[in-house]
Amino acid sequence: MLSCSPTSTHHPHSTSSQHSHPQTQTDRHPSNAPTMASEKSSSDLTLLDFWVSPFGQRVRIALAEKSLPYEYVEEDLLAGKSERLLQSNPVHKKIPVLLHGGKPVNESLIIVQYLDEAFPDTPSLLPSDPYARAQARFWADYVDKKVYDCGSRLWKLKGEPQAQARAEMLEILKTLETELGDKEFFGGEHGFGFVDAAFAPFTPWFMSYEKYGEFKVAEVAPKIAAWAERVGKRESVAKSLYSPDKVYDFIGVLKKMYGIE
Amino acid sequence: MAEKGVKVFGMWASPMVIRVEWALRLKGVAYEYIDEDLGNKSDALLRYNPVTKKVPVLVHDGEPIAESAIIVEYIDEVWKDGYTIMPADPYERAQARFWAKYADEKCNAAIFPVFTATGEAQSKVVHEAQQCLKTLEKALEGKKFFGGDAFGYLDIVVGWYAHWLPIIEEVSGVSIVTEEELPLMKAWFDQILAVDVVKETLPPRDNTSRKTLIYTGSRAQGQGALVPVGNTNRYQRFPPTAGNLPESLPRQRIEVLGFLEGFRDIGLFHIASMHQKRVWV
Repeated sequence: MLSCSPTSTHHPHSTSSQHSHPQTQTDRHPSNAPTMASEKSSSDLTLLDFWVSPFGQRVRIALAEKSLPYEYVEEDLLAGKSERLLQSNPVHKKIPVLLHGGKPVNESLIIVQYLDEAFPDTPSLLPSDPYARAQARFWADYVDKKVYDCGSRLWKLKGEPQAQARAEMLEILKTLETELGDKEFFGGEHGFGFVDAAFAPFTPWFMSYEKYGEFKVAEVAPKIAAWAERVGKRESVAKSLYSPDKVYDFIGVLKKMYGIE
Repeated sequence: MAEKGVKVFGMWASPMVIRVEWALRLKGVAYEYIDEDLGNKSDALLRYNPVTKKVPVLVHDGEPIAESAIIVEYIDEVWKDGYTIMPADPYERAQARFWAKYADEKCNAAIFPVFTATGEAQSKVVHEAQQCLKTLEKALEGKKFFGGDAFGYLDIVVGWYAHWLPIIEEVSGVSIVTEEELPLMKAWFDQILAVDVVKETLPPRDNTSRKTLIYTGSRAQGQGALVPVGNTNRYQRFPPTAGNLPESLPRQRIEVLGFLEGFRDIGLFHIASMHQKRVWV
């Protein structure tokens, strides 16, 4: 089994391949990774993360957009939580945690905003206009409150509650479709932005939502489907996400863990 | 022709709305306040916030913004030469946002059950509410306000506790924020209640407004109005629904339950589904 030592420095993907495959059913970690060892200490950033977490991926995308070097630390959450994680995020005990000079920042969207503010000379994810910023925060918050929770109910539940989750998911996708409209990215004039980074990590989950919910994103929300494809080709996103198959398999692992059929 | 000026769509008893008013008043920004009947929302509100349909909504020169914490940051950024609301340092800003989210998501959910629980269950939920607030209280250590020497973003977000929690305690017959359990929070309550913009905007605690609140609150749930049953101390939902209201539940609590039910509609208690049990007769 490939082990991932806490001090290893790597990105989850090499830039040359689309997605790496974990080797066996016991190995959930990426099998290859380039190192950025020489640049590790220049920005003094460490990210405690879990490979398939869409929340962690938001931060990876932001760091990549900003070309900020960092140490990636895989927390093997299915095995338990490390001392470092528990100390860095005693309130929620969750990843992602960004450590900047050893000081922890928690909550993925808060981390992304922090990166914009602490590294003002890097490309920003939030736009500069206050109204556009407020809109971006609203929609990222909408994604945050709705997508993962509804998606989880879709694969966890059966019968009526599952049907309800399905209906909600369609509603969520249609609402986001209306917001996206004909824009290339949610960020509009700004380009790839805060909401894009917030929602992109869920695109590999679409296949699983489609399977469990028996619908097609391309039919329910074609603009979202097109956006998902566009955004998936963006380098920062491509190297941070795992394939839909890997996500689907991971859900299978979770279901077994929870004893769900 | 573009609309000019600042409007706030709110509900007079809402702590979420009051955050927006505090922020505007700190900046000295004049605004028109529009009170909504949450059981019968105006076309304007639904047009300005079609996604969540909730208050508060700030409309600035015709452009709407929803979600109170987001509105507060917007106000700080637009009127940037006025009173400073957000901390300057990026790390402190991240901490302030973290605690604001914690308070809204965790503490509010921990506080609501205090209100609906009775007996043994109630002491358990009081303890959990206290645990949540104790965690939050750490951010006050060594400071007068969460913002340091001055009333700031996090004070704006959680300041409503200073007025609302004592009401909830009184009506539920419990103590949550005490000198022994939450000394920093208790001291901070006094600081909050002394702030000018807070004093100017707090809704009254007296009984006169409660009937309005019950009606508003119950209508917001789409379940019809609560009306007193004759001259008794009981309220009846019209049309009536099956309920499991314990006989011993005091009248005041029924009134304020209506108040809090109304809040569900304005997003105060996110984990509303836990509390779908019918507590009305």
